[in-house]
Amino acid sequence: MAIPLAVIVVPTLLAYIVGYWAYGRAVIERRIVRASPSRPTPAYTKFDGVDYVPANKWVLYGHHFASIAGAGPIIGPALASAYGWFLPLLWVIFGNLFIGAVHDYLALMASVRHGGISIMSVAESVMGRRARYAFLLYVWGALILVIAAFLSVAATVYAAVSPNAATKAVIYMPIALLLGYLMYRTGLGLKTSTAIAVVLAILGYLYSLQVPLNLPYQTWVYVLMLYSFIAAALPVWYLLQPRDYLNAYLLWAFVGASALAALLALDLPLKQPAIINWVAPAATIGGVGAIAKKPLAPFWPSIVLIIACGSLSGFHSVVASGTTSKQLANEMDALLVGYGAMLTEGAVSTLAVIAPIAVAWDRVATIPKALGKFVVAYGTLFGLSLGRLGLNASTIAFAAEVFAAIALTTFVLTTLDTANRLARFAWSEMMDFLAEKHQTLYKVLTNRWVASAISVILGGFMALQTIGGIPAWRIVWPAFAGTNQLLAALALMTSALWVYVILRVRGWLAATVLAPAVFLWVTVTAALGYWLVVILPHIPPVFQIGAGSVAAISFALDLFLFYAFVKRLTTARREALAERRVETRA
Amino acid sequence: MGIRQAVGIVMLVASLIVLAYAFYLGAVKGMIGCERLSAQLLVETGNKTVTCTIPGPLVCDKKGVDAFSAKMMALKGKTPPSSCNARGVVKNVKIVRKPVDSLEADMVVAAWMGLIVGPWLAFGETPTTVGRARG
Repeated sequence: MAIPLAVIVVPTLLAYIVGYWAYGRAVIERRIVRASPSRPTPAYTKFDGVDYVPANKWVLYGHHFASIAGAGPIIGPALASAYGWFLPLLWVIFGNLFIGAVHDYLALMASVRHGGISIMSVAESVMGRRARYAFLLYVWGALILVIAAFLSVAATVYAAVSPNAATKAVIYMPIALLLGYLMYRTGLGLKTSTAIAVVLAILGYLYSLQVPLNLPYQTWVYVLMLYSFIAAALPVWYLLQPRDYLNAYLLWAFVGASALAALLALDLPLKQPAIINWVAPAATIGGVGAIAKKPLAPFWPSIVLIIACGSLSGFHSVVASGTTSKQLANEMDALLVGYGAMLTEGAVSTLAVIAPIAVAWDRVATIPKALGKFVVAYGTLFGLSLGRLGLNASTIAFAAEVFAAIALTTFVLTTLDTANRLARFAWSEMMDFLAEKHQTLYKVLTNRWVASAISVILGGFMALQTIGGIPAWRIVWPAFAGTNQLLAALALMTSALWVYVILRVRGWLAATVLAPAVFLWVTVTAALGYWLVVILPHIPPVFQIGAGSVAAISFALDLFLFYAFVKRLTTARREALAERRVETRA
Repeated sequence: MGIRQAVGIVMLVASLIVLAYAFYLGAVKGMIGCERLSAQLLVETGNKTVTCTIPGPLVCDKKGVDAFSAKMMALKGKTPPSSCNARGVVKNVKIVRKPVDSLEADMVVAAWMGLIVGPWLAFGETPTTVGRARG
């Protein structure tokens, strides 16, 4: 008997709804962090009208969600379909609830409680100054790589894949600016301002579908460099916040429509086997050439490299403790923004990717590219589901495919300018050793325009420069999955130490954070080590040098920061035991 | 009114005018900017298949794209032109559209930047409503 779609959809929805309230709220927020509605946040205590600016919680939820959502929650699960539907689903749901969403929320709250500094700087209070600078430098380097990659990807999308998406981007920004103006300068309020902006955005979409904007790749790289330089330095309330909030409606429509389509067709049979293989082809973790099709990617630990954003991702902690924490108006908003946004991203992976692929497996199994798999599967689910209402199935399928492609291209630009803003923050925090003895130099280097220019120029260089005909960023990119997930492990370890050492949470409550942190570190370290030994020797020499160097540096940092983590945890445990002895005697 | 505000207002107004005109022209022509067209013909010659590229015109409107596409698609099933240097039958035609720089498109992105920076220069001080989270 065929397994119905309900087997994926119902447990997913239940897990997220119950998990949010029973675990996120009851345990993480109320008992571990002990969020307080009356404690002032840095958005107020350090208000500067540029970066520290309190935001409405729904606006911030949209802003944060749009910042963390990229192609990751889509590409990863589509690649992981090589394992079947069950294993990726398990990883997304449990990874989300107990690791990813906890990681995002704690990074956000740790930053808020430390005056809005990044999670990398929070590391100083629990792991020492050297750990902080190592972490900051590593993250800054990773962000430069993200800037380079997204400059290139965005320029490619606009120049070669979809010049119509370029038209949409040009129309969209002024609408976002208008939204910011309406929200903050007129008396219209959030709902009316949003309604006006959404209507204009829809009209803009319809126009952009008919009229492409044509410019070559190189011109787009320069234009986008200038754009992200400006966007990263302008006040956040002016452009990034309203723009991401508006974008989030597209994302919510994307997830909501998937949920609706699935709920209308719960009895649809799943064509994909629950488990196809415990070991996927090497191509899923970057293996190329002779080894690409060989089964060299065991589910554990490779899954952490394959599915990132949909389950857990280090980039999220940089966003949460970078832009988001500086805009949090109230500690009680953090659960929706930090934990909730991550669960929403998990819903993208489960309802918009895993479920449709499982339903449409007979049509998509042989499609080689992950993106192609996803787009066709998404369209198929809609066609089958809404076709039951009497609508033309193939027209619905086509419209859904176009909608999916638009959603994807929208996220590319938002990640780019957010990455540049975060790189600016990381750079400024790294330079603080100059503050005392070289004040003028410090002020120049950390000026928001200078800091923004430095990171975008380096990113642009890597996007434009080629080595042997290959863009410089591509040579390093194969190591990025490991870099990103290592970042997640380090951020969660920092947050776990913050919970144990600073918040003084003990017993099983502390274990709910410490255990995932250690599990994640073990998984990422195993995955990185496996990739270095099994995959790296088989990729072309230029990638071995580029990606191999980055992976090796990541591995060294991984071990250093784990040593710092264990050392601090051991000291803290000893102190805790000594305190208990004193209390017992007293 | 200070210089910064004046510059911002000029930038904002100029950008709005340029964008509005460019979008109007785009709606009329079916595109903004220009493309260099070419066609890739898949030619079956006996027992092998070769690809030959036919260079096309520089076009700045959809009519030009449609006209070139129609002309090339009409070659399907026929012998390729002599410039192809292949004797056989055209099995498939793929139209390649390569965007090129144009004053029109460059003005659009310049106006886009102007529309982002202009209002900030003109009205850039943080409004008091930003100091409290409403909604």
